[in-house]
Amino acid sequence: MSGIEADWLSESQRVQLGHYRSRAAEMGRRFAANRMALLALGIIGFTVFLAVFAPYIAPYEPTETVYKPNGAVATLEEPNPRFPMGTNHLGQDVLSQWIYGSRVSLLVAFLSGLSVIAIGSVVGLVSGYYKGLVDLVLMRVVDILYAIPATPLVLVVAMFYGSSVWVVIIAMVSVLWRTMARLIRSETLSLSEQPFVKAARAAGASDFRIMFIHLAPVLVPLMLIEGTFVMGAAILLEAGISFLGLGATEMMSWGLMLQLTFSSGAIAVAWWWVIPPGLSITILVVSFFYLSRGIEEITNPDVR
Amino acid sequence: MARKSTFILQRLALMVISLFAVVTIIFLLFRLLPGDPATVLVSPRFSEEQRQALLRQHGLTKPLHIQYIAYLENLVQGNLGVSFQHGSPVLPFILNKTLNTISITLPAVLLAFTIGPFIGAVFAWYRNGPLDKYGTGLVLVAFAAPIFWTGMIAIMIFSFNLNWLPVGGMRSVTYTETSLAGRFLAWDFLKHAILPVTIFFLWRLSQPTLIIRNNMIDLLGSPFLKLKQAEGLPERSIIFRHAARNALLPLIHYSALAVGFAFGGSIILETVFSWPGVGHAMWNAVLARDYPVAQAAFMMISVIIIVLNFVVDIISVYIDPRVTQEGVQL
Repeated sequence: MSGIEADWLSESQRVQLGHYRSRAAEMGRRFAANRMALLALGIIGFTVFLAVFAPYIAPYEPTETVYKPNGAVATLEEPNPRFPMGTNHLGQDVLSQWIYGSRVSLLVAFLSGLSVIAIGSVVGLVSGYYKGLVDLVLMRVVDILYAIPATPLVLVVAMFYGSSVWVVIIAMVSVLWRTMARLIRSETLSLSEQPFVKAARAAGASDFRIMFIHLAPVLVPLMLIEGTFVMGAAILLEAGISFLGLGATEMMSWGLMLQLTFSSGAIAVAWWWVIPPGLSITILVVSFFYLSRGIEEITNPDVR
Repeated sequence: MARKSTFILQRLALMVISLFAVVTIIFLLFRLLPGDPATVLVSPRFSEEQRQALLRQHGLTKPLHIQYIAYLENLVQGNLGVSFQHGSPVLPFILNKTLNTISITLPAVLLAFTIGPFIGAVFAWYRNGPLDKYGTGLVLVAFAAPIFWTGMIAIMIFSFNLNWLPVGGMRSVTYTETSLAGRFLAWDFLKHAILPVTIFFLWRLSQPTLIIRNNMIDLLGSPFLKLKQAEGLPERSIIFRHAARNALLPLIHYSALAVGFAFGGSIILETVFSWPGVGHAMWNAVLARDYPVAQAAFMMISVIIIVLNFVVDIISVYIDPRVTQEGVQL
């Protein structure tokens, strides 16, 4: 049967669902036409693949000592068929570290992004919907958060609560939701004047229902645009903290790899160890930025 | 006029509230620690008596609210405590380091905000052409590349391979300071500063460039510029004289934010280049658990961000009448 099969839906709901489907198809077409966004999605997908299947792809454990055929520890080997990305000063395989390192970046990106979407959207919706004193107080909190520099904050929190990827994520999210809250609030302010909100209110919908059933779905594109941008920013922040030696020490990360190159003084000799992690961070972050722009372009074609 | 002064008063109030809030957050961050503060704050190298003496000296044995009042009193008097590491008063130490950080962040941000708008205007002129597409991409890459990585690559190329520039530090080891001006006005200083300033500059270039590009593309469709076109002005003069001028105003606000970001990023950049600034001091303090210095460095960076934002808000009121109209609706 063509179209919508679910017989538990009313006729009008089926028509509505049909509209959504054709709109989604239209957006899909526009997204497919956006080559940069498509490429970005491909790169993120590839990184997810690396991260998920790391144990099967990586030839060695990230902190395993590897040996030359003659039995000596393979320290600072240049890239060769045996070690395609060379080895580091401790005799660890750079390729394996690079593959495992993708896990931390993605974990940080997705967890921070989703948390920022959740916190920022709720604060923004509440602030923009209720206006008045609630809005005043919440937006002053956001203003104050803008005065807190993220790197120093994460550094201090990691110093006290121990360096782990979870501590870093929580510390980052506690400030990064500020922009999301501001954006969602200002959209909510203008949306609440729209007829559909007034109609819902007149029909007796509760505040909660109006905010989360009527308003929130309209704001999803904005959440995704800012959310993907935050994901890129979070990757950068975490890498910086790892580079300072206070990030995820329990897992190999690209930032930690660069910390090791730097602290061991290997940047003078081992280019094969310095280039891949930094380049990967850059490419992944740019991908998230382009994905964000792609979402902006498909949901709001006037942007161009 | 009344509007202007209300706006300024509002901003002033916000600045005071922000300063107070940040100071309080820092107080709580540094004292509400998991477990026994003494073990976290004080290095295990100290003996038991030294530890108790240190805790007493910093008032850490008293209840929290008394500590908080003492902390605020000390802050107002400019007393930020004594460093655990070197025993000297923290405030002059941090101010001195802040000066070193300003000496690289300010030139970098100024450069980015003078060169960026030109690049952005050119991108807008050739909008959606290859120069705009690849140029915008490159500027984004410069923003997305971690500064510790680009810094390391710069050191790899210019210090180790070409041997043109020093690996790090602000002055050569043989240098002994005689005057404050002598610290910065020297060829030796410039040679040390060139890499960190360039890395900072490239990192901060994207914002002014993209803001001007996007604003100008928006403005190019505005009635004001349509009018100028109808007056028969050449397009080049429309872009650079009329569109750019209008697009520039918001940049003043962003330049202050950029200095703030650069200060936040100084922890990472100064660590790569061993630049003796406030960020490097903070990192060292965190590693050594020298919490008076870490706390003061954190406070310094936050205060700079807050005060700069206030100053820029005030400047904007006087040059851009649009600001008050948006700002008044709290």
